Amino acid sequence: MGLLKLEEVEKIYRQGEIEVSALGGVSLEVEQGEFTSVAGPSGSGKTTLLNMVGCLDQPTNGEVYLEGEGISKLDKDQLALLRRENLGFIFQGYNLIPVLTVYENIELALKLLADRNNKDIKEQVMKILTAVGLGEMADRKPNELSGGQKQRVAIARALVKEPKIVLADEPTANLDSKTSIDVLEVMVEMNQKLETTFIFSTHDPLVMESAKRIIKLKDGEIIADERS
Amino acid sequence: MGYLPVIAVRNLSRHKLRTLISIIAIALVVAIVVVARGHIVGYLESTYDSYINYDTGHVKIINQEFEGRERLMSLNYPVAGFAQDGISKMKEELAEVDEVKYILPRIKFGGAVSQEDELTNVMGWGLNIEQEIAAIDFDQQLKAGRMPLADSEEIIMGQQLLERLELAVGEEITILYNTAIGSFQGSSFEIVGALETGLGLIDGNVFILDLSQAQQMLNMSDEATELLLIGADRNRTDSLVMEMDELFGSFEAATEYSIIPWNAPGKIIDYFKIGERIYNIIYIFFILMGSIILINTMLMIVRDRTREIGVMLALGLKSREIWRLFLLEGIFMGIIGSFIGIILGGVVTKVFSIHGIDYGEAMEVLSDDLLLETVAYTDFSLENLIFSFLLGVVIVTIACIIPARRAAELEPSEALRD
Repeated sequence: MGLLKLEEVEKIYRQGEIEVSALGGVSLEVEQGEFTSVAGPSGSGKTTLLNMVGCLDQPTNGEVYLEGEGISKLDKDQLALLRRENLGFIFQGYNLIPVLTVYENIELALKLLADRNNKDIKEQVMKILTAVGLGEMADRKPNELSGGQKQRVAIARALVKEPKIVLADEPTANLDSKTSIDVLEVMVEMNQKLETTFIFSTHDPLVMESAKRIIKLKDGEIIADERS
Repeated sequence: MGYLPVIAVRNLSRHKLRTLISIIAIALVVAIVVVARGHIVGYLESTYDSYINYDTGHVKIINQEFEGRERLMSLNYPVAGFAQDGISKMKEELAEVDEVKYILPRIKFGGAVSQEDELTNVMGWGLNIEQEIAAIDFDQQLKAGRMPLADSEEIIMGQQLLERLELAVGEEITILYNTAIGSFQGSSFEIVGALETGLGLIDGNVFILDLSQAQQMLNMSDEATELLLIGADRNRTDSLVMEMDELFGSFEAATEYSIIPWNAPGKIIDYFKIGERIYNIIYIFFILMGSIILINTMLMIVRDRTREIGVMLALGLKSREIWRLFLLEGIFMGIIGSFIGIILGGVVTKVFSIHGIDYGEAMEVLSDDLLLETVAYTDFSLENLIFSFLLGVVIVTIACIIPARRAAELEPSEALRD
């Protein structure tokens, strides 16, 4: 079994009496180190799929396996631990914690892990900050950064704990094309250097061009799964 | 410091006005609790002291037949010793009891003063002056003159009574009264002092003379209408009562006496104690009302930061860590607000503890039977400040559980969709 496997995953949302199917029996496998893009129009189920893979939500039917272990029977705390140790997230709106500095935002991801001492944490944070080109901005607050810089911090925060999978929901949607290319280059470099698995949801042709695999969704179902 | 307290402290400065309003609300209610509690405790303490000093002692011994007839001030049911052999011997036995510090025999009797066509009712208290001074600093209540001498025809009178009778220290007065054997008599006394206790019942009605003089003129040789016992500490009254029960149980004829502690059920002090407990509950509700502003603020914060909560959950924070984060934020506001509150309340309480609040006019409508002071002094004490601070912090913490739980119950995917 690969790093990630979805088996007949269905997600139905209930809005009062009405049931809305967001995903209808999706099955797929993702191997370690893949750079995968999930594409599709709005409402096709991209974010729902990412939520399932990121253990942020649980399927109504079917099963998600991470390294062979099903997540549907895990409780909220177990899912939190799974996310803490194995998953990194990059969001469209950056979503940095505004009261923390750049350094502290990244440090937080490591402080949640039990087995790190302060010296190791500092080394790791500075290393990743330098890697994303923000070594000089460690003490700045998020509101003192540009959109591109914020997204780099978000990438650094997602990668600092060396997760098995990084999930990115429209990571370039709020960036201009030059910054998008910069950010994308950082992610590609990290994928190559660390062999981190990246899964994106995107509309952005730039991101899709960089992806080694593109999964196309429509109405909650996979209509194409192409590898380059 | 862990990362949660750091984030919680910094979050306080995100919406300064909102935080400030919450802190001010908590500070105000805590300040009001400090002042209200200081006022109630101060007034109750002085009331307890008044009742203990002038009515009940720590324990009061009276004739069982006298109980319930105290208002009539009958002299027919005296305390006259364990075997009707006089209170001198009884006092010797009582003095042997460890818990007993002072024994104060008193005779309280009714009288009247006739001036022209007008008859003014008065109340006479025969006291062992020397022992009363030692036990309750009676002489400290003198406004003018001195205490009466033993076996003399001297009295002191309440200042208001003197004014009502248009008399002054140094003048003479004739008081009419019934003796224990029922004969109607009158005696003349020199007024040697004016008494001002702040208690309407005493200041407006009572004259005081030496006990032996009262015993002689009332035909109550070696008798008293009541015997007050003062122990070392009013909180040890239970053990004093136990020792009294044991002592009185050893005398067959002693069953005719009632042993009444100052805080006996059904007595007015008991009602004050119930009132004190009710006030403690009122303080809690009061701070809860102030906490409503904080709860609203926190609920707004949770709504504003829903997406941020989602990010934290995605990073791997557990629900209870989110709960703790919001609770900490509320606790910090509670600590700051309560601290400012006890400083504000402490200043006001200190001022009223020196100058007092005059309830003179309001007290006029109350019964003269009550030993209530007309000027209330608030209790300024560290205990009150600590109690109010802790009450503020604890109630605010409990109140914050509601918004903190709402934050913790958010599902990560829903929170991120916000």
